[in-house]
Amino acid sequence: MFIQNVMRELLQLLSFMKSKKRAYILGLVGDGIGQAAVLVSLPFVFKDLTDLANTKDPALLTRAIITMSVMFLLLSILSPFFSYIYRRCVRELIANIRLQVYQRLSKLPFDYYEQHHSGDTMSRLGNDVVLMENAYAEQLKTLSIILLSLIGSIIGMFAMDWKIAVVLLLVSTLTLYVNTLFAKSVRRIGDRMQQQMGMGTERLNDFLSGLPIIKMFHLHNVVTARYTEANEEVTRSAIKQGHKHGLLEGTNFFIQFLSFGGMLVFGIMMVSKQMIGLGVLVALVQQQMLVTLAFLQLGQVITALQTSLAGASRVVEFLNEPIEPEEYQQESDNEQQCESMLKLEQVVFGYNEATSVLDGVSLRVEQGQMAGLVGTSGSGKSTVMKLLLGYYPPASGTLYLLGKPMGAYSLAEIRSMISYVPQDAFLFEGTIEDNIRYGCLDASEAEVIKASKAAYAHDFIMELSDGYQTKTGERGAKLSGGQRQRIAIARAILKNAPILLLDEATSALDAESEYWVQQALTVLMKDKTVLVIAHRLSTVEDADVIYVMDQGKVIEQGRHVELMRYNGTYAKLYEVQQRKDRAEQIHSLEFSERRVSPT
Amino acid sequence: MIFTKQDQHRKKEPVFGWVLSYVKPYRGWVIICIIASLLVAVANIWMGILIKTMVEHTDDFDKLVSIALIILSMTIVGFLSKYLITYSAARFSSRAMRDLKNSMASHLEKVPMSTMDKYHSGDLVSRLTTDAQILQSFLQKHFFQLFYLPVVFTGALGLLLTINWKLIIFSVAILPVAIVITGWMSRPLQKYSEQVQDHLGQTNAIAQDTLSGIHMVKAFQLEGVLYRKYHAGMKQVLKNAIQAEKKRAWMTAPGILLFSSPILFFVAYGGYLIQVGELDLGSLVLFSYLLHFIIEPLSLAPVLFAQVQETSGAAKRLQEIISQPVEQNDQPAISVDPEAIPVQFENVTFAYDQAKILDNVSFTLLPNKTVALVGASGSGKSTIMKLLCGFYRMELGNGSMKVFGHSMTDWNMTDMRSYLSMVSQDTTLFPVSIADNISYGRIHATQDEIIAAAKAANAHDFIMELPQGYQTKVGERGSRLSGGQKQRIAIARAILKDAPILLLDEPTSALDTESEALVQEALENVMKNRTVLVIAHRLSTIKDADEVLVLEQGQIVERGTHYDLLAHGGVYTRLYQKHFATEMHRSLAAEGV
Repeated sequence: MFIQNVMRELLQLLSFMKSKKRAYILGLVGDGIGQAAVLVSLPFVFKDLTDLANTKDPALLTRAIITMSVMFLLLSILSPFFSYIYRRCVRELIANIRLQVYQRLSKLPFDYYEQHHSGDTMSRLGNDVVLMENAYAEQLKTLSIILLSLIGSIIGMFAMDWKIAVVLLLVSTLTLYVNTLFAKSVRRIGDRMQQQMGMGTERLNDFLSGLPIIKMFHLHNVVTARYTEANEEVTRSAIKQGHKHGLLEGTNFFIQFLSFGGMLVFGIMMVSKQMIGLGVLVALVQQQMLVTLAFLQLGQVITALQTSLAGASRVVEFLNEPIEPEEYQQESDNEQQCESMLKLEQVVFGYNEATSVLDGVSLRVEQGQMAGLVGTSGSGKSTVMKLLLGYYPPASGTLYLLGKPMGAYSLAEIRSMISYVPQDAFLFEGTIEDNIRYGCLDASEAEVIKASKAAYAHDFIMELSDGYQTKTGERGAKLSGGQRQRIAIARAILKNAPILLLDEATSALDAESEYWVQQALTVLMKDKTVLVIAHRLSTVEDADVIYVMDQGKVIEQGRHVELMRYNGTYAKLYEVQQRKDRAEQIHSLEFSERRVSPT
Repeated sequence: MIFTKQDQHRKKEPVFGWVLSYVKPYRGWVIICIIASLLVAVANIWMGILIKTMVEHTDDFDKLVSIALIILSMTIVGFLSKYLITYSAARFSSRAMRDLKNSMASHLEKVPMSTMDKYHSGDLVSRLTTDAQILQSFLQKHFFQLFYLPVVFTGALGLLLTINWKLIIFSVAILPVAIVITGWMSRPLQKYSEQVQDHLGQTNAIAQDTLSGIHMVKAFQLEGVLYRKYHAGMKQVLKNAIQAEKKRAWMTAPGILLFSSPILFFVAYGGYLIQVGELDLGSLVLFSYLLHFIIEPLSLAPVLFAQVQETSGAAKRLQEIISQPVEQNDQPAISVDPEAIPVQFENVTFAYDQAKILDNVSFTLLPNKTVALVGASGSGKSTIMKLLCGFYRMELGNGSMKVFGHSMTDWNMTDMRSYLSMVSQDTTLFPVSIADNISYGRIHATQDEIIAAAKAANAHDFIMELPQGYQTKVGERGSRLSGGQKQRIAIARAILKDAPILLLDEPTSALDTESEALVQEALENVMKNRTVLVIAHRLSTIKDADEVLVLEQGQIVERGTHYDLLAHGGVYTRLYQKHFATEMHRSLAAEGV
């Protein structure tokens, strides 16, 4: 049973090789044959030497020397060649697996990212792939050498004396059986350990991203401790694994040493009774040594392989994660048309089955219009955006884009129609130019500059020492919030998509940045169909329509003036915001009007 | 910039000495491991002696029986030793690596943020996982061989010497040469392996970026371009790896020839000795047995050399991090006079990457007063905050910063920060429960104190509405909460810390109206009776401040109260007009004023 499992997983490992399988196996077997040949030929050389002692026939000596020289010469030519072949295959394969994991990592549905910590995914790409590499580069190679030299020496032993050979074979089978007994629990520990390493990486990520807070609040004993705790667990597993490995190694040594000693004692007795010649015994001692070493290594390899397979299975599991579909199947008729540029009809959605975040939302935005989305935090505004970007399919109801239901488009088409400026202007590691260009990859340099000018970003970029080639740092850390936001807007301008989704884009800025960002947004919004999540209600006063959301429902809609007249939630929100500002501002306006003339 | 090496900071300490310093605390287990491997070596060699005795006394049955008993007891010793080798190797290597990782973490806590800015977190993760794993696997699997192999080799050699010294001396004469040559040949491997790991670190950074920015990746369909970037990095990894493999292949051929020549010589010369009758059969049996213990170390030697080189590449990348200088932490504790001036900047000039960010900044923050920083983005507001937090190392002679009357250079950073509380725009939450996140303000706070802080931060009500209340897990970087919720938890954390000085990067504008009112109220609670330095965005905050500092390109260009500054009609007035006046006009118009 267990052997079958191991075989199945070995085959799975090999199946990763695909087109390289042949080259890999060729390299492995070639290298293995070279090494095994030396090992297997040694006993014969010694048999020749023993016979030489008896017969003094110089031909035997010549044969021994020639055999040895040829073997070593072969090894020194074949081994570098073949080991290069298979090691190259391994390097290529591992690079390929990393690419596959990376590709999968950017194509998963959003559920996955929300359920899994990025650290765990990073651990699969790091720790687990390294283990796989060990399997290909070391363990499978050792396995092939062992198997080849075993075959060689078993044949050799039968050629010399079949009785002893049979005994050896029995012992070997016993050893193999004992090994498989251990392998199972080693695998169990390996599985757990890789999982713990994943957790360690998660916590390492939290630690690294939280460093300023850790410093300020002196969180060494809690946050850093979470990481060191995970390290502790990995260590405990590693020691447990060491215990199992140790038992196995010890048992193997026990079996082999005993059988070797036993063979020697009985062999000598047989020699003294002249049942076999001393030359044969010498050769058998050699063979037995070989088998001993081989089986000691076999034990190591099989258990080490278990650890690698634990890593491999986490990689395979990740590669088998279903990716985001090309398009969402919607129950509605894809031919159905509607007039609006953007429309939601009775959309229901929840991140889990228990609670629904959107509870029958209907709204629409006509071409060239600007619509505002307001409401308290948690009312579902951001979720509307996420559904429009195709991050999730709705549970029921229909979304329309450019007059057609979303089901009629592929996700790629949907996303190419939409420009998105999120609240958190995420910048990627790289230069400012790269980050703007992500809006439209084949944009010329002039277009990039034009977009950044339109986003009022050009001037500050030119003031930086490296201009457009300035590195942004991790998450854009080297730029200020206002600068990041304007780069995100330049990116959206460059994309030039017909629909624009703005999520709290005017947030978190100082007075001057906010002014420039507002200017940039005005440029961006021109001639576009815009849906904006607004927090400063002043932003949406000029909107063509405002939707007020509360607990997953649209509770009011209309223009600013209409909503004020209606005197409902919107009017109340507006009041709250205005009352405070007004109280301060009237006073300061009176004060300043004498000196400055506000325009 | 992110990946540049800090060569000037690298210690001269040899990398293996450094690694061994982590192994040292577990030297008991190391010694057990070494003794056990020596026992195995002895058992193997002793077996040779027994063989010799047996061959010489083939007819002595009693002798054979006693030898069989010796073998049996050796088997038991061998079993224990083998177990101990593996177990103790796992034990000391994993513990040493745990200590190394832990001390890396506490070191990273202590290096200035300017150092941290140079490394992408993905790169650091790669060092602490992949590189550490390479190092551990060496310690666990190959370390004991460094002892076992020479001993078993010398043992076998010594025993053989007693039989025929000429044969052995001539056979092994070439070995020292071989060792020197292979050692020399394997050196470039270290460089290659370092490069491979460096590039892997870079690809890791791309992967980490993709995961953190997945919303943007999908919205702008960047899967392809990022994949190409990753692919390019991977190609570099592969290129270096294959170069290393080529080097390895080139050094294997002469390696094998050099290390196999003793055996070849042994067969030839030994055969000659047999023919002339100088070597008998018994010796030959012994030879044939012991030869394995000569071959094994010889064939493993080149592999070990390569392994040592590759491992030291990985170890160096870890050492590079730990040799980054730390911020000052060994200054003696300072007793603080509560009457002292909390914060004082005198002619502070600060440059980062050669660009001057602060230019001659001076200001004083008096007890229970509020100073507001105002200015365009990039004018140096956040840098003042970061300098005050001690995140950046200031060059000497560029002015002085004093906290409670003591120069920054006299403070122990940990102590100094205990007087500061911070609420930043980027509210870092950790993926633990809400209660834990708040309690990070003061670790031993009681449940009641946590709730009181949450209430003061206007966070209690929304927390209670969550299905699991205070025990709700907030997700990676607090992703399961909205912006306003995260901010209020960060404020609760700062309230709980209750430090005399509050640093506030005013966050209120990222919120919807209702949250904004709640957060504003929370902030007013936390600012009460405290000394506050605030990066202000809201007019009300600016107006309430005792002093407003207007920054432009790293300089304080104006200072005074809001009203003074408006009366002055300078930069502040311009800023004010641009932002607040329009908004105000609109709101006044809406009210029909």
